[in-house]
Amino acid sequence: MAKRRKVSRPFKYKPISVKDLLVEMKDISELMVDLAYSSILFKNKEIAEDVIELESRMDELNYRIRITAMLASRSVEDAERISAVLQFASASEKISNAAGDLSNIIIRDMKVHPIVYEALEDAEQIIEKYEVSSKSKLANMTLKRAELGSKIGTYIIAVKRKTSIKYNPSKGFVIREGDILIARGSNTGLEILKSICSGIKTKW
Amino acid sequence: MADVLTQMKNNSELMVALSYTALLYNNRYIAEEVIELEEIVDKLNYEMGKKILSKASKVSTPEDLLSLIHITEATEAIADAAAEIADIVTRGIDAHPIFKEAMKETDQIIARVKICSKSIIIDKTFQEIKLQSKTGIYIFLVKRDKDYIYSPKKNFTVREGDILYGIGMESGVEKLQELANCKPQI
Repeated sequence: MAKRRKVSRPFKYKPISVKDLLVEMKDISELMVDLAYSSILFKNKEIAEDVIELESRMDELNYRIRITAMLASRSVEDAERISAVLQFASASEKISNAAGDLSNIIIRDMKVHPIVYEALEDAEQIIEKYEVSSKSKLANMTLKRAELGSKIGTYIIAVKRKTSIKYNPSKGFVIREGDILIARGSNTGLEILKSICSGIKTKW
Repeated sequence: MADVLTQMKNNSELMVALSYTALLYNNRYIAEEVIELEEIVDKLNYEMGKKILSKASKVSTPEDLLSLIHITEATEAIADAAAEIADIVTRGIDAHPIFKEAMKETDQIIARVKICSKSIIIDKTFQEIKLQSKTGIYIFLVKRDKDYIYSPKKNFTVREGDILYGIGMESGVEKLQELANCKPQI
């Protein structure tokens, strides 16, 4: 069984823009799916538990967006538009719940069937992790300058530095030697990233 | 069996990306594509269920298949959620302008560009047109008729009617539209 059952704690209402809530819900739900698959691929409980942690953040966001939506409605037109916002929020929550279910495979020590690995490794978007070597051009470079997304189609979803993990690093994030990059992309893109991280490839 | 699950995962992730794009541009075509993909995922889900059951009857420890059931269910749930997002657009609710603002704040914009007649890039390869360095857009998918071509290579030849899906900055999307000689469908 799951180690802990979430206890819903009371949230305090704070005014916040619906736009900010939507952005965060979208980003967190996408991140959760990527992390959930990586927790299975790497058999990593730490990441799996972080997914569950993010799930409760999603609950809170959903609560906030519902309250904000109710306060914002003044007319029928308002209500129609706001229903779209709520539909979006509930869909993001479903995505995050699905990610939580995926992580539970690891948290509950379920045996992962070899077919699962076969399927995940053959998928279009896969997840890999690479250590940034001292020879790599990425060391001391910001993610913005590295342009990994537009140049080779790989996205850094998390960076492991010593004992901490930084999720969804921003563009200004500076990569350091020894960082472990958890990246999503196609096979070809990730092969390139691998040689960039090891320092074999210096231009991309 | 693994290939069915792979397809489910690929499609469900594509659906999520496309559903956000549909919202951003309030674009019915993209939203309808998500709904079409949802039907495909439903069929794959059914197929996967049958395969898991028939495998379960042949092995001595059927509980080993539990992880497969969980993953199949999760990808199906993700696909359903994406269809719900697309549904906001297909229902024709004047999607709240807030979506547009919200989608723009996330740094990856997904572009969907159709190659129209007289486009200068027809019958050329990605390498020849230096698509990536010119537009900064990474093409991750091409739809040709009913087929989806994932991660097209550099020597991929563009044809009229192809629909290119790429990730990049908004300025790059405009350049790509110019090259494709097509106005965005709204």
